Amino acid sequence: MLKTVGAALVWVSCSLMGWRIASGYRQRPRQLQTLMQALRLLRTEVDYGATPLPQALRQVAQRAPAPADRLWAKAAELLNEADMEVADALHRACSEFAPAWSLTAADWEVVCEFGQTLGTSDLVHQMQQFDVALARLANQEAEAREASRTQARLWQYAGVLGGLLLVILFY
Amino acid sequence: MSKRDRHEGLPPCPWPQVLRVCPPDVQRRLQQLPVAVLERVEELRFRTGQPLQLCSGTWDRFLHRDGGLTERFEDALLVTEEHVRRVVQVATQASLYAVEDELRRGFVTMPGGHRVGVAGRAVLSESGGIRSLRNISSVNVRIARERMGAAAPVLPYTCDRETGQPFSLLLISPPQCGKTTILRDLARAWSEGECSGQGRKVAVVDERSEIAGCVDGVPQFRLGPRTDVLDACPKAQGMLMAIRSLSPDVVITDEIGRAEDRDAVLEATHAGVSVVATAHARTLEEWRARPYMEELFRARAFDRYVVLSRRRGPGTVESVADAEGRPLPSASPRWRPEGSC
Repeated sequence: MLKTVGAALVWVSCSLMGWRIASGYRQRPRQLQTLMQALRLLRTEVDYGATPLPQALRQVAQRAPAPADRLWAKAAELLNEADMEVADALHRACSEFAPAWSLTAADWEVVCEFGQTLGTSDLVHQMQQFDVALARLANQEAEAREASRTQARLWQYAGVLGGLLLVILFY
Repeated sequence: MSKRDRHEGLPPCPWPQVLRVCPPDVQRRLQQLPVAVLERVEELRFRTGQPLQLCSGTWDRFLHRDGGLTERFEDALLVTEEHVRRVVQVATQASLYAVEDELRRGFVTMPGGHRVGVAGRAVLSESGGIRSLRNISSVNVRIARERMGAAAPVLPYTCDRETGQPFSLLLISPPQCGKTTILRDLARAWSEGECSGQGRKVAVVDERSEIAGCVDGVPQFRLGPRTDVLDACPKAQGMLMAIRSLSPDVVITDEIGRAEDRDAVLEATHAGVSVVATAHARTLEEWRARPYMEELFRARAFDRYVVLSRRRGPGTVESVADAEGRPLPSASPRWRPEGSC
């Protein structure tokens, strides 16, 4: 009886691990999309309203879809209250939220590199930086979507089957 | 040492906003200064590699590196590139794209209406105009103060004593004579009915956000209950917008001098709206000699010209003239800086 329960636990754990890794692959394109949507909102604030960054970031935080809203809210808070530079505020906000998100280091790098250009140039050049960041994020998103298509199911099956293999080997 | 001599607790208004743009080490030293000194300071001058200068029109000192003030620049705190960069970053709210037009004109207005003037290397456009400023090496933080009653010496010239009809009024003076402070108080006085006994609708066209000191569109200074503010709006366009959409009795704006300003003032005065404005010059004749301004004078656009100086302190009324430039008798009690804010 105990052996059966143990085998079931091993199988369920392996399946959950596989499911979790697969879930990361599925979440990444969605999270990249919310990031892009938030960047487009910020672009509108900067382009149309020439809104100063602390206020623009707060407005993006209110309107952006989850989970990107919290990232921009944190950056706005750091910029406003801790008197940090924009690049540092965005970098720290990214570092704080990175463990909870499914993005890769390359994805975060795009956001942080964009943060280094934010607020440092005139409107024309700022728009160019937005376009570059959005294009890079779109590439990352296409790659994430492809990875999700091929890897998510693979990891899900690998978890279930790996668990079964362990059970067979040890049973 | 009295409480007034030695600062205890928070520095007086408007220092919290000014201190916020200062680098932490400068903040600390400024906070240690006596209130009487802080009340006197009109400008903070940051120049890379030079001592940090605190000054008003007739007085200046350097900030001592160990705290307090000094007249010897050898003992003064030297301004670094990091100091200047920090002031510019906070003053522009880290958003150069939002202030590029202002930077092109050499200054940025920060929350509270304080003007941050900058000097650096100009980047020119193909047409030869200034595209932007880079390598900013000097920053001048001009502290805006709200002085209730600052307009008192000017009030007798603001309207027709018999009909109560608002006069179009031009305040003329060199920089740092209190024009904007008086203009701000005039907006409040018109709006609250201090000028003619009856409150009037006032439209403030605040191109550089100095008169109302708007933060997120909300005026930081008391401008009265009948005042609308067109914040950061170009003067000429703003005056026409105000006339068309806000039906003001008085339009108030700062520093006229361009051809489009002249056209807008004429348009307003011909539309039956009184204009209260300021201009840089030492005398009425000097103002008339400026481009486009003689046409305004000839068209009798203004009913009264008030020339200000700081001979007996900021806001000293030197002379008052009517629409044809004839002098009128004037009395100029100096307004008290105490008890403001």
